[in-house]
Amino acid sequence: MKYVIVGNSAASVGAVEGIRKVDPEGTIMVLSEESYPAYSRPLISYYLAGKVKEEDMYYRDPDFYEKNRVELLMGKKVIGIAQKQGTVEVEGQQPIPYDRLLLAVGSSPYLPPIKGIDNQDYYFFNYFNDVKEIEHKIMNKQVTQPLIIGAGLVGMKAAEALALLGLSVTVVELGPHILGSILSEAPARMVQRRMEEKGIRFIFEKSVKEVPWGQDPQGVILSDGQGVLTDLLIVAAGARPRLELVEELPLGKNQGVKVNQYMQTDLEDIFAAGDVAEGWDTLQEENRVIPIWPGAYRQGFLAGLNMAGLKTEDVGGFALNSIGFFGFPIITAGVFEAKEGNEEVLCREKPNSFLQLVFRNNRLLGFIKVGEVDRAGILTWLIKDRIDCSTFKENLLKPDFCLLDLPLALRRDRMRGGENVESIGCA
Amino acid sequence: MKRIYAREEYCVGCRLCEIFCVVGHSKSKDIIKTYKKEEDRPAPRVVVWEKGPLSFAFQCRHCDQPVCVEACITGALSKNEEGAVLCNEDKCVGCWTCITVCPFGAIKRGDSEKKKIVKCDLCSGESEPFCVSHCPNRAIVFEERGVE
Repeated sequence: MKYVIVGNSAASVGAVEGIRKVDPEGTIMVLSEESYPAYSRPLISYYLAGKVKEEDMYYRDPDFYEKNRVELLMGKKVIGIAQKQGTVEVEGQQPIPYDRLLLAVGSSPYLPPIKGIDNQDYYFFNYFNDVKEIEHKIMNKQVTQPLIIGAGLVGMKAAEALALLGLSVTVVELGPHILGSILSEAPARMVQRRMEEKGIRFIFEKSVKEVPWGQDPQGVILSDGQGVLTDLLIVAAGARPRLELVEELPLGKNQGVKVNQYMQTDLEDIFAAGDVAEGWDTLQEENRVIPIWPGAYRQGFLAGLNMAGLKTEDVGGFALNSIGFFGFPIITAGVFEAKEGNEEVLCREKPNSFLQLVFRNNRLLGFIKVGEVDRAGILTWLIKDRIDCSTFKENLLKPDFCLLDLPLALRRDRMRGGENVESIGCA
Repeated sequence: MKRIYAREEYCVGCRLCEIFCVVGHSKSKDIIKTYKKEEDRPAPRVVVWEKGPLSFAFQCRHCDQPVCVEACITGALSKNEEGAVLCNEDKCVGCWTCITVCPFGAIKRGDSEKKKIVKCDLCSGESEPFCVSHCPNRAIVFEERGVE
């Protein structure tokens, strides 16, 4: 059996581990556009801030590929998939045949329409090379006032890293508050204040309209005509699943590539996992892309098992995120805001912490925890296992909530624990 | 595999398990030296939960399919051949993704200086974990129970 995996991040590593669990013999080839062994993408902001050294960026031990007998081709751009011939076309090289193919190509950063941006230097903040280029520019003392477009997860981690390097950072966000994909307004303001204390400046409900060419000093013009000076422009305006390889293929796609419960696309031999794939969201009850690292690994692992012939169903998952700024932690999961009107929302707000719980029919649907995040996974488990919380709902608001606050039967179950724990199904 | 189980009917909440967990992970493994001489005293990896007369010691369950390992963004968490879920502290950056997914709430945050997780390692290399061997009431046991 010839396995070919396009992409080399969380889903790809998961797939290698899944395949090797079942099939020690088949050949595995991993095609990577980047020139690194699989590294932890979320760590690039840690790297830039000097908190993690290059050798600690790698997601697996250096002997990972050798131990799993994987042929890793780095710096190779895949330009097409010839599905009828069963081959992958790689730039400057003979087509590579496959029996099972995994698309683990992730997403690409989105560039919003900004007049004049093509004539200017700008950076994304998604790849190791992005931060290396930014680092280079900073080391050459070419940067004093970075400007970041977008206050999502990526933009905020970029802002934190650059502020830690002593630069005066401005963030321009189209929405009304930061981290709109994971936080409601009140906790977002709490986090925003923390970041403002560290010197980060925010401009909300505006976009960057134009980057004038040939200006000195350099800057941008916002949608309201206001000018903002900057010598480093970072675009963190979200990402889109990378569909260019499958555009010509007869397989279903919406935002991402549609997959069934075996992570298989409409084409039997082609699987997809990670940020490019639309897996099952157990809370929203639809297939959608949930672009989170743990979900990508899990989908990749499942794809690997299925590619190697061990039929294993994906139970689906839901969004969850853990992120923090200047030591101030944030954990969110599931549906964190009332949307349909039949939800019950419990909330506890203190000067330095925020907790919001959303229930429907006494089942926890989602939560936001800011400042105090300990034992958040118990809440995640309550969501996943759809536990009836009617008798102990209020306990979940306690700052020191722990297993003691669960009813006896549930507590005993948790204390035994460990055997037959299923995947949490995060995404 | 052998796991640590709490027996709440025997636990009096004395917290000696926490003390001896610290000792077991100290340089000297000696209680006096650990508490009187050593700098950088490790944090306990077991926690005693207590409410009125009810108390029990609790730590990582070393799951058969550990979701923390699956979710770890850096590759710091892994399950070894004996089944213990271990954290490579050189690689842990304290992102708390494992805390987001641990269905038992058994992983602790390290203090703000050391932004690493704190979790039970079954006292790797010892025949019995320190918390178990030093519990005066046998309120924590280390045994093979299999699936109940």
